[in-house]
Parts: sequence; C-alpha cells; structure tokens
Amino acid sequence: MSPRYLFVALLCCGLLVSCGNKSGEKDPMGETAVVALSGDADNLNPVVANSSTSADIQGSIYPTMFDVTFNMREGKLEFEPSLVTSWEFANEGKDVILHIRPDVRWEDGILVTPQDIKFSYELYGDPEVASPRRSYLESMIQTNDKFDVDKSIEIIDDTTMIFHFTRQYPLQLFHLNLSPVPRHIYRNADRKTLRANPANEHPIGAGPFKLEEWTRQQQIVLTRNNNSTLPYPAKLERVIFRVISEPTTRLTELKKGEIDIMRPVYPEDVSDIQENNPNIKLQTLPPRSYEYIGWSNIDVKEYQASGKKNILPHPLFGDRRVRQALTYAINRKGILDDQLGPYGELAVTDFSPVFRWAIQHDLIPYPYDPERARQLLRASGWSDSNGDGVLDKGGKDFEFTLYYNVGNKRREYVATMVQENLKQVGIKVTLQSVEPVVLYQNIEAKKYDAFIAGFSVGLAIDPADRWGDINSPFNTVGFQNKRVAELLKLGLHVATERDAGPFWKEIQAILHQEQPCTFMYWVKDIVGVNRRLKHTNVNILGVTDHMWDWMIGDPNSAVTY
Amino acid sequence: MLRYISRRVLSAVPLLFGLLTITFFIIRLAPGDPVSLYIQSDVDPQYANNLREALGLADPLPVQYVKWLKGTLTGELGMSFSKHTEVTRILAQTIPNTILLTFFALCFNFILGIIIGIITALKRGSAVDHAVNITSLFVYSMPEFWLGLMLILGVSLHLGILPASGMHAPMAKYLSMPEYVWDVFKHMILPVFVLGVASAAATGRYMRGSLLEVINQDYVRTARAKGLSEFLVIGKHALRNALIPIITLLGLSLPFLLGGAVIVETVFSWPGMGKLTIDAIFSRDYPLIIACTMVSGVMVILGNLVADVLYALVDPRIRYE
Amino acid sequence: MSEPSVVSSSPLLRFLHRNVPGVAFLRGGHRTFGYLLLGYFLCFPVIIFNTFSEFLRAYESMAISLYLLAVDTAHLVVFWRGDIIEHWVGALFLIAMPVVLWALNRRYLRRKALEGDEHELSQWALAWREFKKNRIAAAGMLVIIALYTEVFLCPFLAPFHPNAFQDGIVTKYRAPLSSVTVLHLKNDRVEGMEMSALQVNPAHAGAIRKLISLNRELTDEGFSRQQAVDAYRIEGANVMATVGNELVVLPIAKLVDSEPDKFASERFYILGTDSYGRDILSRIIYGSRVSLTLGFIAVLLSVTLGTFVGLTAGYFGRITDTVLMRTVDMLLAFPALFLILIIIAAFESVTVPRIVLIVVVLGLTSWMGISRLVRGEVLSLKEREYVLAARALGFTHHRIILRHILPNTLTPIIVNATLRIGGIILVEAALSYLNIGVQPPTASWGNIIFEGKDVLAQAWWISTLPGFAIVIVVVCFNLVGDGLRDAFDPMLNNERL
Repeated sequence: MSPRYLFVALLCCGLLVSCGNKSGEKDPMGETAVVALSGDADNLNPVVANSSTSADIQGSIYPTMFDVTFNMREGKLEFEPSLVTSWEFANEGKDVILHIRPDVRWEDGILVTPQDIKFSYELYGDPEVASPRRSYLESMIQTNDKFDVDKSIEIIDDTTMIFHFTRQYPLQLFHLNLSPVPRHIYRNADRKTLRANPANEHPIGAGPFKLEEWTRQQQIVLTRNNNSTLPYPAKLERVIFRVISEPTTRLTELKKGEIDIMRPVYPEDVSDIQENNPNIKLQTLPPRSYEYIGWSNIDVKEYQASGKKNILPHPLFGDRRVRQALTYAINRKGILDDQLGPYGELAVTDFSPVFRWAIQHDLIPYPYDPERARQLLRASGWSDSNGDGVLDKGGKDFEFTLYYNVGNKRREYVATMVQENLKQVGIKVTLQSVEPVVLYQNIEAKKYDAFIAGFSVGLAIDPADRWGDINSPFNTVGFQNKRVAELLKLGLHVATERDAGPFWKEIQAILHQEQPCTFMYWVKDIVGVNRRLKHTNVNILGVTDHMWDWMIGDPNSAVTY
Repeated sequence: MLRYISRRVLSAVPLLFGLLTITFFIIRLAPGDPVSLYIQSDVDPQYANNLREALGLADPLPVQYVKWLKGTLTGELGMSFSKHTEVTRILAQTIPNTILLTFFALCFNFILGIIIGIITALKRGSAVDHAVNITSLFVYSMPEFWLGLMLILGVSLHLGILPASGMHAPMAKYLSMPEYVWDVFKHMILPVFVLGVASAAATGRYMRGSLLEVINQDYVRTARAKGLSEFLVIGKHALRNALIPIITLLGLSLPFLLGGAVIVETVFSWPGMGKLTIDAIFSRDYPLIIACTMVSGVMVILGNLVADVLYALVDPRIRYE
Repeated sequence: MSEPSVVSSSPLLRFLHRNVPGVAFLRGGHRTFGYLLLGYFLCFPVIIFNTFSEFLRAYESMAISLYLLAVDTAHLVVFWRGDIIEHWVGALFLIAMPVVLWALNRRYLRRKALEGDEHELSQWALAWREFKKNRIAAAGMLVIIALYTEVFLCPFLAPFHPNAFQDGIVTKYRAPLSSVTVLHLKNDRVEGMEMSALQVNPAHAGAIRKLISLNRELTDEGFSRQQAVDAYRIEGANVMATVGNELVVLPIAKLVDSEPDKFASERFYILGTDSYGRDILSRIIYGSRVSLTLGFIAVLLSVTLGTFVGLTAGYFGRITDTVLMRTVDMLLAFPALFLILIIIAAFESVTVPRIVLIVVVLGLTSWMGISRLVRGEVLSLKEREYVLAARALGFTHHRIILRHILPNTLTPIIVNATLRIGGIILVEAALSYLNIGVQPPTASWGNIIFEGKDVLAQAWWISTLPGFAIVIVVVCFNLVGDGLRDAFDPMLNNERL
C-alpha cells in the first residue's frame, strides 16, 4: 500500500525536477577530468597496494622520491629531482647519498622528514607486511636474510640520508624510488594487518592531489592539494576515476564526453572513433606488456608430488624441439593481425622493443609453419601411430589442458585459435577457463602444464625475476639454463645499464632457441583522450603521468603543448 | 497480534542460522587460496602463513566456524580479502543501492501487475486479454540479461535516451538535490524495468485470477444488482478484496527479485550487492560472500515476515495462531 | 465423422494409409494433425537425402566399429574417438524415429479397427484429448518435439561445424544473410598413418584404415582446405586474393580446379558470424543441445529428489516432516541464484566437467518447490479411503507409497516439471552469461550472448539471435505446462469463464 504512494510521490518529484532541469543548464564538468577505470583500486597505501590502478592513483597523492621519465629514444629511465633534490654515489657506488627537500609538508601540515622515509622503507622491507615491493630492498644490507633498516639507512641530518647497498648496480635509483608514507600516521599500526588499516582509506600525502572520496566499485575522486609543493598544486581542481567494468559502456561514455581519458580502447573500435568522434584523440602506448603461452618445462605432477624437490623434464614440453614446434604451429601473426592489427608487435623474446640498446636484432621471429612443426615433432618421436588424428609416443597421446582466465576476450580468442592450430598438427588441446585469482595462484605455484598469461615488464631491465632459478617469482614455466644464470649474474653486476647490453643480447638468443614459452605479441595499448583535456602526458609510464599538469581547454583548439 | 509477530520472528532465527552455516561450509570447501590476492609468490611462505593467521584462515574449520559465528552475532563481519577493508563498510556502500533498485522494481512490478490483472479480468476473452496474456508470457520467458542487453542496444546505444549503466553521472555529487534525484532516476529506469517486468507478468496473472474470483461472489453481484456503476462496483468492492491475496506475492517475489538483481546489476553495472557478490565470488573473498548471502537471506526472510504480518492485518480471517 | 472405407480405395492409397503416418488422419478428417504428422515423418527422408553421404559414412563407421568390437576389441579402443558418437546417434535417430512412428501408426490403426471410435478412455487419453483442444499449447508441444528432434540431429542439420573458423579476418562479424567467397585448395596434406608402430593384425588392417578415414571425414570441420578471401582475381598462373589487409598469392596449381566457377564458391551465413568467424546458426543449433538436454536432466533430477522428499515428509509426518520442511524453508529463503553461484564457484574443480556440475547444481537447487507440492498432495491422499483401507490391510509403507500414493501425485508433478524446464534453461543461460556456465568453445545459448555483448553496437546479431531461441523455447515449455495443467485438471476450466 504505502510503497505505491511513495512511488507516485517520487515520480511526481522526478517529473518536477525534469521540468526544472531544463531551465538551469550549466556545465558541471567545469574543471574536472574523468578517467575511466576497468577495475577498482585495491589499496591506496603505496606500501601494500598491488594493482597498477592503485599505482596510477597514489602517484599523485603521495610524494615521489624522484621525478621519473622514460627516455624513448635512449630506451632508459631518467631520474629528475622531486622529494630528493640531488644525489651522489660514494664508496664505489655502494652508498647513495640523498639530499631531501626541507620544505615539503604532509597534507596535515607536518614536515616530510628523512625519518618518514626511513620508517617507510622499514615497512617496505618488513616481512610481516609482505609488501609486493619487498624485493626492491634485496640489495641493501641484510641481517639474517631480513632487510636491516638501521644498517641500510643512515640519517645524517634533516636533509641528508645515506642508503647502503651491498653492491653497485644499474637499478639502484629505481629501487630508491619507493613512495614514503607519513610516519606519524602509521607508527603504531599493526604490521600484519597493514593492508586493512583504516588510515589507508584516508591517505595523507604530499603530492599535488589529495583524496576526496573513494566509493568502492564506483569512483575515486581526487582534488587539488593546495598546499602541495611537490612540485605544485594540481592545475585541475578535480580528477575523478570512474570504475566502469563493461567495455561497451566505457566506450559509449568516452564518445559522449562523459569520460576524458580511457585505456585501453580496443583496436576494433578505432576506425569508428576516428570517423565519428573527432573530439577524441587516440594515442598509442609503446609496447610494455606481452602475452605468452606457458609450456611447463618441468614435470609439474612430479614437482608437486615431491614437495617441489624433484625436478624432471615435462613429458610433453620438456623437449626443446617440441616447444619450438609449438611456436611454429601457432599462427601468431594471424592472431596478432586479427586481434590487434597495428596495435601489437610479434614478440621474439620478453625483452621489450623499447629497450633499443639491449635488443638482439638478429633474431627472426618463428614463422607460422605447421609443416616444420610436424617435422620437429616427428624428430622428437611424436607420430600418429594409431591414426586417430592425435600424435602419440609410447602409447600416450599428445594432449593437454590449456588454462586461461575467465572474462578476458583476447585470451579466450588466443586459446581458441591455439586449440585450432595445434589440432592441425595433431595435438589435442582441451580449454579450461579459470577465475583470475585461481589461475594466477596456480600458475605461480607451477601447477599447470600449459596456460596463457601476460606479463608487464619493468622499465629497467631485470630478467632475473623471470629467468633466474626455478624459484624466481615469475619463472612460471620452470625454465632452467646454466648459461642464462651466469649471464644474469654478469648483467646485474655492471656499473651502468648500458654495460649489460651484451649479456642481455646473449640471453635473448638463448631464449629464442629454447622457447621456454611461446612469446605471442607485445600489446600497444590505445588510449582515448578527449581533446578538451590538455597537457596530458600519455607515455609508457601510464596515462596519469604528470597528472597535475592536466588542464581543461577548448576542444577545438589545437594547442596541446 | 504481537504474539503472532514475535512467533514469526522467532521462527525466522533458525532459518537464518542454517542459511549462514550452509554458506560458510560451502565456501570454505572451495579450492583457491585467498592469501594469494594479498602477496606475491616470492614472499617467504612463513610470512604468508602469518598473514593467513592474521586473517584467521590457519585455524581448523570448526574453530573458524565458531569464531566467525561469534563475530557475526556481534556485528563483526571481518575484513574483505579483496578490497582490503571492513566488510560492513563495503556493505554500507552497496546495500542501499540494491534496496533502492529492488524497492522500485517491486513497486513497478505491483503497479504494472495490478493494472494488467484488472484489464485482463475485466476484458476477459477479448482481443486485449489475449494480447496482454501473450505479451506477458513472452516477457516472463525472457532471460533478464538478454532483455537488458536489448534495451541497452535500443534505448541507450541507438536512441541515446537513457544512460546505459551505472547509478549516476560522474559529477552527480556536485549536483543540486533535485538534479541528483533526476540523475539517479534516469539511470534507474532501465534496470528497474528489466527487474520488475517479468514479475509483473506473473503478478498480473495472479491478479486476474483473484479479481475474477471476487467478481463472481455474491456481494459483488449484490452491488451490481443495487445498480451501482461498474466503476464503483469494481473499484470499491471487488478490487479491495482481490488485492488481499496479492500481498502474499510480496514475500514470494523477494527472493526472485534479489536473484534477478544479481544479473541486472551486472548487466547495468549497478553498484549494488548483486554485482558485489559476483565480484566477491570471483575473487574468493570469503567474508564478503558470506556477508552478501546473509544480507540477501535476511532481506528475504524479513520480506516474508512483512508480507505475513501485512496479510494478517488486512485479512481479518487469518487467525494469529 | 465418417471414415472412408479402406477397401474401396486404390491399392496405392491403401498402402499409404497403412504405412505412412499421417495419411490415415488426413483421410479421417483430422487435417491439422494429419498434415503435421505427415510433415514430421517426411522430414526424415528429406534430411537423409540431403546428407546422404554423411549418413552412409556414419553407418559404415558404426558397422566397422561393431565388427572390430567383435574381432579386435583392443585396437578399437585405441582408435576410438568420442566425437563420432553424435554422428552415430544422429544416423540411428534418422532411421529409428520414422520406424517408431510407422509402428505407432500401425498399432493405432489396428486398435481403431478393433474398437472403433468408442473405446474406453483412460485418464491419460482423456487428458490428451483435452490438451489437443488447446491449440496454442499443442503448437508449443510441436515446437518442443521439433527442437528435441533437432538436438539429436545436430550434425546433420547444422550448415557448419559450430567451432569451425578460419581466416577470421575475412569471416568475422559477418551480418546475417551475408556470404564470403572461399577458394578451395587441393588436399595436399600428408596424413600420417603410421600404423606400423602397432601390431595390427593384417586381416583387420583394412577395416581399421577404413574406420580411421571415415571418422576423419565425419569429424572434419571442413574448412581446412578452404581459404576465405575478401576478393580475388586471376593473374597468369596465380590467383591474387586480398585477405584483410594482405595480398595472398595462390598458384592455381594448388587449387582444386583452374576454373573460377569450380575453385571459388560463396559460403553463406544465414544468421551471420561471431568474432571468430564461426557460423551463428550452427552455434545456435549445437547450443540447443546444451540448453535442452541440460534443462531436461536437471529437471529430472530435481523432480526425483523433490518427489522423494515430499513423499517422505508427507507420508511419515511428525518429526520427519518438520525437519524436512524446515530445510526446504531454509533453502527457499536463499535467493536461488546466490546458492547456485556459490556452489559452482566452490566446487568448480578440474576433474568434473563444468556442464555436469551445472546440471547437478541446478537439479539440487530447484527441488524444494516440488517437494512442497508433493507433500501437500500426499497429505490429502493419505486420508482417502483406499489408502486407509490399504493400511488397514497391513500393506507395507513401500507398497502403499508406490502403488497408491505416487501414481496419484504424478499429474501435478508432470505439470510442474514442464513449467520448470523453462526456468532452468533461463538459469543456465544466466550462468553462461556470468561466464561461469558451459566452458567455451562449446556453444550454449547463454555463452553466445555473452560473447556478443561487448560488440553489441557493431554486431548486434551475435547477442540478439540466441536470445530469441531462448525466448521461443521457454515460451513453448510454459505453454505446454499450462496446457497440461488445464488438461489434467478439468476443474480449472471453470476458471476460463
């Protein structure tokens, strides 16, 4: 009964409003930019945040040690002063002396001091916190296999501090670029539950923006931090990050101008936007992430059964010729053309083409050649001896299950194509889609024989986490190679990044030969930007790089700076 | 009356308890380690265990169960694994949205259903009756998500009249109150329609039957014989009594609507509990899944309770025993 | 109605009358039914005729397999492939169904000759007569029969293999009623038939070889020797074809023929293609298999369980009743979809195929309504005289339940089950839409819709068309359910004043 009246009342209300609305037209979007997100941030505390979305957002809230840019021409990172005004190396490069700006204040007015920085590094290195970036501190002083904050970090005075490393290496500054968090807020926080600390909901930073509102699964609103001196308060009054999980909706909103910047725009939508939406500028990011099909090099059943002790070659993929055959048999070019077209690039190894100086240009990508694949398979003893269309060896068929994550169209496409391609050479593939959480967990635990995954490379070359020993965090296929291990050691102990070039090139040659996994392609994300949004700096670091310079302007003027 | 109500409330308690227990055990039997959401694999297993302990996942299942039960009873629903914050906090942000959606869907369902019922009952056997019946049959047989997609395709993408998804415009927060209401209202039209229309078809059928039954009763005939206008006969005498059994539908349609909300919220990206539940299930966020199930269970049980009480209030023939 | 005398007509007509189902009805004045039956019966020879080579191959493959089963079981196991069964089933069905129809027709005629029109009608026959009067419900029934027939005949009806795609760049996102040009390539692939590794008895080697090639041809997705192109022209000894943005050069020698009429043809997509270039019509046809069988089995499961619980609770009463019915109440308080989602997410293990899991979960989460219904029936039946009498006679519970109570609860169960299948099909589609349904690339109506939802604006047909299929099926089940209810319960007819 009462609901009915309520509804009628509300309906009348709505109608009244609708009449009123037309008279007072105004542009509520004034000084606000809207960024589309496909998923929510997980945490806004830089110590524990895991997703790249979080990183994009907190970069403008928390102070950054350096102002980092990536020099595309040189293919390397460059460091400019930010919270750190200048730095020098001492003690054969093992010590880094940092000079800290004295005049930076947290949002609540308290000064940012070296104590804050030291405290933050202690958090990053604390195993109880289990920060995803704990490995950054591995080359600083360790005691009992634990990061030793007192030995590693020395505070000289209010503006000077020294970081002690165990060796000189190219990534030192990169590893020193972890954002500090305010000590006075987190001093008494329980380390184990830092992730769920209520203070994470209201981050106190010092960057050009501050958090205004975070409604889970809906939006994150940043407003200008008027007191920021790092480098200065944002030019825009407000930036809204909207979570829109449906791609269709995201695109519609971009076209309607409800969203100013969106990543990624899918290649199939490009021509439509170019034709019908001149107000949207499309930019292509350099290739930073690639997709691959992981073939477990080790026998995962045995590995799991023996408690990760027995390492035997995989019965199917243990043979290098088989892995090569698989790469030959998969029409990578076809998949690439179909899914990404010009917005992708065939991957030779996992060294991103942006690192020009480190790329081994002599390697030729494996072509699509099913005949060659059949030959290689025959050479390694696989033949269809019972004529059922599936290769066999010693009475066992060449069949396996290929895992990929639910809800990722491109992966699903790849999976279906791979199934079809491999069928042509007599390999039977069963597809199984798994929820992302379960998939990544099982990949990391090395439980799958074959899977499709992606990887986003760091901006400083560090192949050790993928091709180091079998326990390296991202060595998902259990690849082991003595020469690669040697080269890694050599490459990571040189003074400057450039010196490592020859070692990296040799590693690429080995990876190309060994095909520990089938490298599919590099993805060049397309970013759609509404032309009214000026001074955007869409680059390999992301779309929100230098977000504080963004401005709203006339969409018709060509000025973009 | 009070006794009746308290009895009904009491009988809902074991229901709720059983519901929670089932959910808890089903969830904990699931494969998939939620801690992996938190940390990367290079973290020492020992510290991963610490985390597991901190999250209460290291205890044996019965202990976890007792702890969790205690927490639930004291309103302490725990931390969401995937969203790194308290479950109650997340629920506080999403439940109102779902209630808003289902409430209006319920209203829409009953208004449309009753109108359909009246029309088809009064014009029974006519072309209108048949047309309405066939239409409702088709609507009733439609997958909600498909209807939603078709409406997005037609109304949002092609005509561009209504927003395709979400609950408000990005700047909604800075709108004036009436503008804000209008904005939400616009976003709500499609999801409410999709959610309510299928049940409206069912309500309409029920209403038709109920009205037909009443019309044939003596008092209505008497009213007619007295020479009252048809409008008065139907409006004043028949309709009132025909509406009484409809109240029971209120309780019945709630589980239906909440289940439907899962789909509709997903299709329209409505930031409510249904979408939250799907996200939680995909990320194996145990506390959140359990909390969502609990809330929906409570809503269903409460809905039934309200329906029963209303029914008892309206229909004096019901004994409170 | 006066039956024309069989004796007076020509021998041909008499033969048709006896042997072709439908003719007798036509002549007997049941025109609509007669035409429908005749049409349905004639579908089978037409399908056989259209797909004759495939039909023959299926039988050959079956025959050789049976032969090998007898003489060389070990090797049959080695060469066995599961995907051949659908062809066997289809081929058997193509023969069995007409035979069954023929036999039923004969029996009907014989009975009629014996009893005339005035034979006594059972409850079922009465209900059937009622049901037939309801034209719309009967039409719904026909659609359902046609669909279940189609489920058996997928391989013979679908124009293409549901998962077959090639040259996606050319074939993807084709609108309904469009076509692409395909070039036919010579079969230059060397099939590796290296049987030497196995000790095959030379006496059976021929049979095995034949079986292998038969099975291959049957399960061949058919596009492997074709190249889809956007356009082509002949230049000297080559065919220059554009495929997407690329120019492909094919020597004419590699094509099946040198004449353009013979090496090129148009591949026609009635309902368009999806993002891979797979034919939507074929996928919808194969998808029906998932939806319809899954719906049927899940309902069977839930009806069995619900009936069992309802019978037990209603018959034994007291504490049993209380416990069971409280459980039912509890489960009903769950929004069903939550329960299903949770169980599927929780028990989705690698070893059980998702489709089995879904069937079981759907069956296990939808029995509560039926058990309530059955319990109610049982409570009233329990007090009937004949049940009381049976009890007084000291019959076992077992016998009373099975002989006296269960048969009388059947009608509401059947009605309820029919109405429920539609609901189950909707839930399955919803699960597929949420991406936790049937595992792709297996087609189901729900996951075809899911696959199309992100490209709704560019390729509306992918999501739209399977939706119509779902609506039609569910509508039909609801119609039939309503029709059955009215037919079984003449009391209700009063309601239709």
